Amino acid sequence: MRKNQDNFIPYYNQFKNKIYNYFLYRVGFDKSLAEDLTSEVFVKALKSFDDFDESKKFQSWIYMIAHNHLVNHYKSDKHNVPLELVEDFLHYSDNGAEDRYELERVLKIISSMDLSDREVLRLKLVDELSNQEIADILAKEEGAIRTQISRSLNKLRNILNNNI
Amino acid sequence: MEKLDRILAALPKHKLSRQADFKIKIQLYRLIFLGKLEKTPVFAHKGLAFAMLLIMMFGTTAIYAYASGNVLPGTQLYPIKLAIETIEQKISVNLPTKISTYEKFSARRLQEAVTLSQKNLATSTDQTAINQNIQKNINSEISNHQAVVNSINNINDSAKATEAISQAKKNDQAELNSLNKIADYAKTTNNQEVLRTVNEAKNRISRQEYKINQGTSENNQNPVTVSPVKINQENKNRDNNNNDHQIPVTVSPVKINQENNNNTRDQKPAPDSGTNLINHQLNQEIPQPVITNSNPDRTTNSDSSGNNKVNSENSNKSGEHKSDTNKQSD
Repeated sequence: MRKNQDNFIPYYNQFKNKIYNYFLYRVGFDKSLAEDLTSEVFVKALKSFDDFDESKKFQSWIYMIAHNHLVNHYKSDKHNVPLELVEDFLHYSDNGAEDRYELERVLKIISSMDLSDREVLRLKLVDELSNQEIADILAKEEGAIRTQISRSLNKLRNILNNNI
Repeated sequence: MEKLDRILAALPKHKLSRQADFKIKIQLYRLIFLGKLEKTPVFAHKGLAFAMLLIMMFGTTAIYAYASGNVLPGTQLYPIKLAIETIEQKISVNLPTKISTYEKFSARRLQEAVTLSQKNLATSTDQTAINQNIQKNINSEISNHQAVVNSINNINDSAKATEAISQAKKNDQAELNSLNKIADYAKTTNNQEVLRTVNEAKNRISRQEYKINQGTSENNQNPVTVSPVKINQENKNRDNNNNDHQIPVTVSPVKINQENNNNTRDQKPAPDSGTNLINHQLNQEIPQPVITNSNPDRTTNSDSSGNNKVNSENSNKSGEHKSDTNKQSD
């Protein structure tokens, strides 16, 4: 049975900024690219809205679409994530000058970490997803995700301590 | 480390710009709107858009071309008429509408042919072109008639199918009358080609069997066959004087209907040739349309509901020889 697509708009309003930030942190804070990818993801989601199981969380579903879309984007475009736009991104944040410097450092370190560490940290810290949601997106067990987040945070702390 | 936790807990979040948000929303609403259009069957057909365009372009001329009986083959407006009819056919989405559209066009083609023949008799100008158009129209009628039969056979609801068959048989009768008028013209002008085409069309109508698809019925999964249209008294008398018109008529292989039994007792039995396809002249009475509950796969009329008795009774009443099929069943 076809779903009423009008119901999609409230979901869009609720998650548009989250998905935008998801892409923003993964495309080197390229706002224009993040906007394009956000648009493409919501169009894709609307087209397959009939497949969405309403007994499950919309957030998990839309993040999975975004994740797959990002993977396809990297596959097709094979570019490394540039960080030159980080400063520009942070310039508009509310943090003070010192915090901005620390934040930039942290983000750069996260970006230089292994893909698996990087991804779980971003999903946990930036996208503020639960362990279960991260597990769904990365197709892993929740326990494994919990362990990996813990390890990745320790790695991040060690790198920061060594860099001081 | 507290600092790190504080930083990580408050990573900056940006909002989608208003412009981007607006663009995405426009895109989403467009898709939703298009999705709704797809659900509306009439708009799903590009034909409607074309029809609207056509009407806008040609305006009242197109409406006149479509509606007027004076727009005949060979006139300038006739292609417009046919184009609109094609669109009308394409936007007929359900079977009953399709059937009535085919029937309408079928009758219209014949009426045009009749008008052409009368016009030709009156003016006697350029007979070749008009005769060709008459033949074209009759052939068009044949294909429309076949489309009606096919569409009726596809109706799954037996009640609707019966209703459609009833209407189709009325139309068949009207079409036979029109064909007879054209046959008169052909005889007057001694036009053998037109006469042959008319006879072919009459044969097709006479031989045509309608089937009621009883797929939805609980008790009977077999299609019900409705025998060809009865050619009326007028046709019978007409053809008594024209014995040269041999029209093969299919007689339904099994005629087992209690109501029909009463009718057939008083009638001459249909001539038996041992085959389902029987050629006999139009001056012979063709049995009333009957609804037979036969399985089309069967060639003999054996039936568990005692229908053999009905046939043998008919044979005895008539005092004639038994058909080959009856012999087999005996």
